[in-house]
Amino acid sequence: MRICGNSIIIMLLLACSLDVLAFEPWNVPGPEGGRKNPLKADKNVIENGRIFFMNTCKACHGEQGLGNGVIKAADMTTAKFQSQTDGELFYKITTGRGQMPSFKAMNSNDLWQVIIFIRTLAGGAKQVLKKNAMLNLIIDVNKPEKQVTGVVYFMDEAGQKQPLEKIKVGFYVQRMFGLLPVGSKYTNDKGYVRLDFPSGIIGDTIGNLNLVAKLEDAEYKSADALATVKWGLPNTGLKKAERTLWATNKLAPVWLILSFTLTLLVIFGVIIYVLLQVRKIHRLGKIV
Amino acid sequence: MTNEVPFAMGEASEIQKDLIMPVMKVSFKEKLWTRLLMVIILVATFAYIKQLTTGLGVTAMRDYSAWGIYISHFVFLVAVSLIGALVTAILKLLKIKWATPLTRISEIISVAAVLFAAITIVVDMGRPDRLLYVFIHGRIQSPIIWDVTVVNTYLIISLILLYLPLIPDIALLRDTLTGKPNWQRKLYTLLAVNWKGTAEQKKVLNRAIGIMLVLVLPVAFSIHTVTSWLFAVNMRAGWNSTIFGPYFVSGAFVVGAAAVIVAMYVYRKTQKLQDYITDYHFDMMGKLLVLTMVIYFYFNINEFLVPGYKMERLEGSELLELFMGGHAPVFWITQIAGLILPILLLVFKPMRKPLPIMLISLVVIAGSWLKRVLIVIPAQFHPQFPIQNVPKNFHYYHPTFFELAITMGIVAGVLLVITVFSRLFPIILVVETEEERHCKIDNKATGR
Repeated sequence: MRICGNSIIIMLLLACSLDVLAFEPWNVPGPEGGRKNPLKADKNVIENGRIFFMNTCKACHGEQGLGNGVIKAADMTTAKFQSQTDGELFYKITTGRGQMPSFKAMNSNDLWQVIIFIRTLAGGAKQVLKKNAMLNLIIDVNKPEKQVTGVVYFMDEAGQKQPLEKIKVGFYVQRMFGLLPVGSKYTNDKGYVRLDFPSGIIGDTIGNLNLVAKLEDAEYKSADALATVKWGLPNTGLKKAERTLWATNKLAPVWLILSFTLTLLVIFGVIIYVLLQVRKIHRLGKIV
Repeated sequence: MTNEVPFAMGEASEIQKDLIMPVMKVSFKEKLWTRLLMVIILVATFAYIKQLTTGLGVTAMRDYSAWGIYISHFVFLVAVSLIGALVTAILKLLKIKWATPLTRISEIISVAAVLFAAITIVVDMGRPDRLLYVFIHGRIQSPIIWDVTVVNTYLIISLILLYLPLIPDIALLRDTLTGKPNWQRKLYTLLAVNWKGTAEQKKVLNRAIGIMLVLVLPVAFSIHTVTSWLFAVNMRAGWNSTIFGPYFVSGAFVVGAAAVIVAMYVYRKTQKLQDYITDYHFDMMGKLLVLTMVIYFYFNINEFLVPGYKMERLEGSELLELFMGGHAPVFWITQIAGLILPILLLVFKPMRKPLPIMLISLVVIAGSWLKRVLIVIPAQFHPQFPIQNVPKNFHYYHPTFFELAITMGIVAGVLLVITVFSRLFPIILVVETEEERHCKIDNKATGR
């Protein structure tokens, strides 16, 4: 009981001290803050930065960098945050403080990329207006080759389809708990992207797979296209379950069931016999 | 004094009077003792209701120490319960006569201990309302199911083994205790199963007892061996041992023998049984205790010296914690005061006199309880994966008030069962003692 009370107090103290730390100014040494970003912002850099951000930073800083992840973190959309130089951000990311870990071990190219991505978060994600684009899939099921073609385009003011070049399209297969990436490519000048689908992926009982294609671009809104294709291996069920020590009760090893049951039968057989002897004593007493 | 008590014992022998007397009259001290036990059980019941409504969070058990003093206490009680088999079966099958007055004491200790061992497991369950699922959905491959089976089997066998030699005595009570309340006399009549003491009945009864004496041995060894397997089948450092079975069984005989010695002392004092539980019995039980402790000491050396020589990674860190770390004081107190010193002391005859040996036995029992805690708990803090990023209170285990209160309640329950039993039935086998004494006299008379 006493220990419980103490630990609550300790935790409260810890929580307080963390808050205090968060409000202290974080000074960056002059030369560090003056470092220049070696990369220029372009679609690829932003996209790579986005992927890095989603894998590494999102948990605490939130999907839109609002600092609303699982623990309280800096809001990246504020003017104050964005007023920091690239060099200052780089220093803070590599150094770390308190709950913010140090990313020194990471590839510095990745860090410069994520800094460029962070700049796109300025003013909140609401204000980042992405353009509309469409993604269609073309699959010829009669062909023996397992090939999927995607077309990416946008509608111009005249209502005409205009192909989009150098747009990344990711291809996935829907699995039980998420998407299995099978490849990604950039569209050509006609807006086409073609992927040779890998073989050997296990599908449902007749080999059907749910294919998901995603338009993944910093400039355009993401768009999904779905298709069901019979390109997988039929799932014939798990290998016939064997009798093992780690199986379910129904698949217990025979030797175990036998020895367990036999032992119990013998013991309880003897017990019943002895209880019958007690009954016999009772009967013998009546005669007398 | 006898004529103050209304019972038809005109023709009863001296032995019968001596041994049945305690059942006749309940002393003030005994009443006080029963009340005290009931108060402890009441407190424990409230603690348990709190645990039941709030959940196991009221205990100190967390992710790493998922087993706390409940399981340690379960192992302890299973250990105590083994004594019935030792004193009753082994000594009786070896035809060691001096143990006769101690058989019923050890049997009732067995029954009470194994009954409350089963209750302790239910107490340790977060959802006791799902107890039935253990039997419905339990996997036969799991040692836990073997343990559930063997604990219940041993409870049944111990009850029968307690009951069978009691039949002639119950018949005696049925015939002599006429002044008792109706329910009690009906109970005696029912349990006495028309016992008239005819030669034929004696023959049947002796055969039944003989069969049970043989049957109880493998089951008794199984109960503690299977309990040790709950630990030993794990890959966990500190539990991953091949000698856990005999290590536990030998330890069980130590604590059981000590428990019987304490019970002998208490009954001898309270029921004035100096003529039946003599200094000779204490002397012999002392020798038996030394023997069991030496065997246990031998297993201790194997259990600690061999892995201690190798100091394998996890095993080593666990052993270092026991030898020199946070658990070292308790470990060395347990090993030295609870095992080595008692052996050395009990080698000397004056130490085997009733009072000193009773005090030594109390220390041995306390040491045995702590030893079970040291077996169960520290090993859980040396898992295969390091303990990281967990709340502070996952790093240690300090039992809470609720756990301690409930555990104390279980101890009180064991003692209450033993106390109530000795109020209803004579604690020493009346008829058998009588027959043995007559034999002696006959032997003397015939010069044999």
